[in-house]
Amino acid sequence: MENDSDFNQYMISFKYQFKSYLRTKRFLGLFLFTLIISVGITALILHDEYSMLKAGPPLFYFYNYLENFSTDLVVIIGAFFGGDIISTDTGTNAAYYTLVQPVRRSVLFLGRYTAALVSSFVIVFVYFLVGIISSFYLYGKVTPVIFEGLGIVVLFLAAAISFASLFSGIFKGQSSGIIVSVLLLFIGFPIIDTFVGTIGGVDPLFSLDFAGEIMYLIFDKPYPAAKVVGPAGFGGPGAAVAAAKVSSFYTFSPTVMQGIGVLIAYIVICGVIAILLYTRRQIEG
Amino acid sequence: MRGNCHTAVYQEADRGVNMEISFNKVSKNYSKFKALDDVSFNYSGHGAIGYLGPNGAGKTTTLKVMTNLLHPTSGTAELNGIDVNRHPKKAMLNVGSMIETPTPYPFLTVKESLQFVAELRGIDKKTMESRIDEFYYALKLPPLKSRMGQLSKGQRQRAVFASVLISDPDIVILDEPTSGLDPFERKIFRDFILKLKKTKLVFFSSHILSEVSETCDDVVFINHGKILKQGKIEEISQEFNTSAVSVEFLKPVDESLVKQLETIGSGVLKTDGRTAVIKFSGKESDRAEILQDVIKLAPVISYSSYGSDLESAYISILGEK
Repeated sequence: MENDSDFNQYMISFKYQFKSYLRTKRFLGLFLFTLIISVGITALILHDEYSMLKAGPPLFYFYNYLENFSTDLVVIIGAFFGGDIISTDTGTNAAYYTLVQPVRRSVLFLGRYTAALVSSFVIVFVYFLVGIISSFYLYGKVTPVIFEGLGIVVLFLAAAISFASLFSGIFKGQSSGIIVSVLLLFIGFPIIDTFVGTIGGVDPLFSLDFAGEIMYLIFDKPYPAAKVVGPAGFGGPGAAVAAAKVSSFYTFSPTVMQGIGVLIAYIVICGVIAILLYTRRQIEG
Repeated sequence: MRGNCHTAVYQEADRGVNMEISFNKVSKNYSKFKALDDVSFNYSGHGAIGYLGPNGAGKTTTLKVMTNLLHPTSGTAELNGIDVNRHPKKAMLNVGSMIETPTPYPFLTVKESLQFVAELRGIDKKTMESRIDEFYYALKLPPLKSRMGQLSKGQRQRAVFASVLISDPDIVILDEPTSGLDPFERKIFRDFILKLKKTKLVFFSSHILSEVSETCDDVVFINHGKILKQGKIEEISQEFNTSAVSVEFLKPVDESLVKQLETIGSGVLKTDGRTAVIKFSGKESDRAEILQDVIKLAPVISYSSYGSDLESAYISILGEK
């Protein structure tokens, strides 16, 4: 294999970007944030529902634990690591260092993408690890479904990073791509999901956040129905008015295959567009 | 336009080295603004070419097109005969470049930044380590374990310069490499360019005319995106020589001395303290005659051309456009 083959250069790009990520405040900050959140959620769950959880299976514990914050965590971390994959070059003078090397931009991108995926997985794994430790504390064992869950996490993170990298290719500034990605993934998609799915009654299969829910739904036995229709209104005068206009609320749950399909679609479509943006981007200064 | 090869070309075909930079009718437009307008030049073989022009002339745009950071609107840029915009990986393999002020990953150390480039360029570990050692001393690099983000501009510039040279490329492209550096750092760069040009083709833009005249064999003038003049430095300097000499006397120039100096050459241009500037025809023989005459009038400490010839050329070529 030639020393400057695309594969070698991909590995080099990955290695140095990963080293760089591990030393950033972003990595350390998100790592600590995740650790604090996961310990906090665990303490609350164990404090409030100890007897119920103790009586149930480990699967039930994981559903409760992951349902709380895991999708939000994945999209936030994915946005932080994917939101500047391209703009790290175009938004700083790094382009004059990296893009003048004899390496395809697509190869540089894929190396960085992989580094972002591995770095973000390390952080999300902390969340799972705290859950695993709690499971051992409660039941003395952990459900093997956790491995499927971790597999889905990798896909979900990859999709979130791909989605965010698209914005890192659109915006020149480093922080713009991160901010827009966080806003869309953390606030935008949930709002759209509510209007389209919960109120509109249309399956929000287009939504990345929705597809990512399979990460914790696989711990629910039996697996929830794809569509549940319930009466609208939660009580109170305001709700009564709303109920008069909206007769029913809908709860959609993606099937595992649907979720995986949507996540893969995000990875491929957003990734390809991001690479195209990167390869065509000119460094105007 | 391949007729602009500099005359002091030393073809390297005998050692299998290919060094050629070729711009063929390159234009670059930003909306209606023409940053480069039909730029053509061709240089091959080792030597140093200075690329001169005022701010906004199109120097950096040229170098960015040359390194695939910008795509030309029309025309082609070739490095070693390879179209850099169509085959960038192949074209850049034997080319080291430092455009603007590069900022490597701030969290990598100096050594890691050099290793990153060396590994991307397929340099084996042993060669890489020996070159890092060599540049550490020759370029007076900061401690190799210090992070790039913590370095001063000068330190970072030297570290990036080391990364440019680590693969021993045959073509070196530099964009105002000494801009913003202190005299000590400038000297390091100047000495390196003088050394590099013996075996490599060095193409660099600069504002510092003394630096260009000291290091370059050829010079290209650009303004408003157009090449205005190119050729060997001596020939251009000759063409635009200043036609004045500066004489520094041992004692201040008084009125009686000025009266006597008026009879020499084409008369006195100005006086300042112990110095008098005398106009002449521009012929070398007249310049020698003036020296002989002034020595007879009063003790002379120094005798030199008034202003740099390259400076005159710069002002004449770029000032009138």
